[in-house]
Amino acid sequence: MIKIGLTGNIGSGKTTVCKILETLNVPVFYADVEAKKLYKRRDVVEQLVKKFGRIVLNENDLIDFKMLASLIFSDRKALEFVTNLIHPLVFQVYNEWLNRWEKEPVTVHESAILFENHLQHHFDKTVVVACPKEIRLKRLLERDKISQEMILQRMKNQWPDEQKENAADYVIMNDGSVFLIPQVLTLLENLKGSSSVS
Amino acid sequence: MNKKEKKYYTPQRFLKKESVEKHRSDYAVFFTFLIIAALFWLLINLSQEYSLSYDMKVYLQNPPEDRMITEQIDSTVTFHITAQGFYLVKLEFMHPDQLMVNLKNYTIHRAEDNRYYISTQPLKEDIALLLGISPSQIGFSKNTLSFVMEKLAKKKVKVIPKLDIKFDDFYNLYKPYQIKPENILVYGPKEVIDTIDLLYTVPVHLTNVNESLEVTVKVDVGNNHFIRVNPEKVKIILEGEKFTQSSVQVPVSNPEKNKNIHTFPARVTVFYNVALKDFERVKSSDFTVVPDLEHVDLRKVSRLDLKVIRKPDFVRDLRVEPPRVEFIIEK
Repeated sequence: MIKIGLTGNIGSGKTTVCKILETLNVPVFYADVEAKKLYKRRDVVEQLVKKFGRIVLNENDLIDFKMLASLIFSDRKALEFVTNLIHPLVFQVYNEWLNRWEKEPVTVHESAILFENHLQHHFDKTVVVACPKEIRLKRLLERDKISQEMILQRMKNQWPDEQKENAADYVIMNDGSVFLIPQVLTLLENLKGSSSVS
Repeated sequence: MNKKEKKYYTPQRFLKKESVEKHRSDYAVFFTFLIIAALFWLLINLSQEYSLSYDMKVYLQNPPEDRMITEQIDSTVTFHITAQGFYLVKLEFMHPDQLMVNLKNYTIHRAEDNRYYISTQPLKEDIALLLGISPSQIGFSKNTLSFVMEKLAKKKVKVIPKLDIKFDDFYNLYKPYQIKPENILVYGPKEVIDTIDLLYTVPVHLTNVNESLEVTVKVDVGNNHFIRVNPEKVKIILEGEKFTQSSVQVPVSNPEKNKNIHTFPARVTVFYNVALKDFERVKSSDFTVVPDLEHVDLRKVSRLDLKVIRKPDFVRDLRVEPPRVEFIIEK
């Protein structure tokens, strides 16, 4: 099995590429979705309350993501704490997930901050979905209805496109000028080809 | 002694002055009596009866609802007045030169085919009333006034407003304008009526509109004098409202049940304009977006155009982003 780590900056179209892969029967693990689920686990909640206090809880005693985000974006050590708490757990869930798909030739792990968290060594190949910043900004303004300042703040916490493209094994361009599906098909052919060669 | 003091009237001179003054007095008396005599002469003459004739242009009004006057055979009428000189002098300066005849007040007689007439006899009373004299003092040159009157065809036609509205920024019509009434009756000769399917209003230009308006506007019959419309004016009701742009994320639905088409992206953004008062009413589930498969050979295209097939009535100016999507057909 080839384990793919798929990443891309916010608004690059990672989810669209993953949906194409799923349609082509490639199992996809959505790390951000799984991470969000982990915040509901009692042990995780307890650890976060111990670190930040009850301020991170909403009226239902669940994690208040807006509050948590405001705490960790302004405090590097707090961000490291949360990363070190959540990511091992995410990988625990990922490994369980991988066992379910062990007969598949290719599996994909999708994560927005794969390189930023130095997770690339967990995968056989890495793929980045790339798109110019201006197009991503336009997409996010239309899609998420949040302010430009907030989007730019989120982009700041991610590596620049060029750095990610250099670090990745494959690049899928999603700026609207090139068809996506043929790129994904070519990618899968290459991966399966390289798998059979090795 | 002063020379002036020597200037006395002598008896001769006194007599001469008296004679001149007496002559002057005689002239005054003469002319006074002459004027009085002339005045009496004039009054006597003006108190006598005279006859005069006047020409008046005749306008026939209010023909029966289903008919139209297409030709006025007797367009002028001469009438004779017998009255005291006093009255005729007055009339000489202020007699009307037009005679409006309201056909509703007179009996219309048919002569032949489309030719009709009214008797001038009943007109006398109206003219006498107009001139302030007795009907017996009036006589007409003609006993009848003839005209050609055609039976009108009638038809209900739609009225289309010629509107040129310029709204203030962000304002627009909340819903299509209303016309009251939407249809009007057109009367006219059948061959003319048969050519009319709709009528326009006269042009209406409105600028900087930022509120609801009601405009009453005339129906434009152009130069066609042979048609009549009822009503002649219609009311245009415009409901103005402030609009804003917004968007929702909508999943792309599968347009064909027998084909499992996966589109990428699977969700698209639908932009729309909505009135401020309806802003909160819009939900993503109100929209359905599907790939447009009409006239498309799925084996030959790489992208499919998207179209919105369901939306709330109160949104407009839709735009789908991205407008085209890639797709995979699952077998």
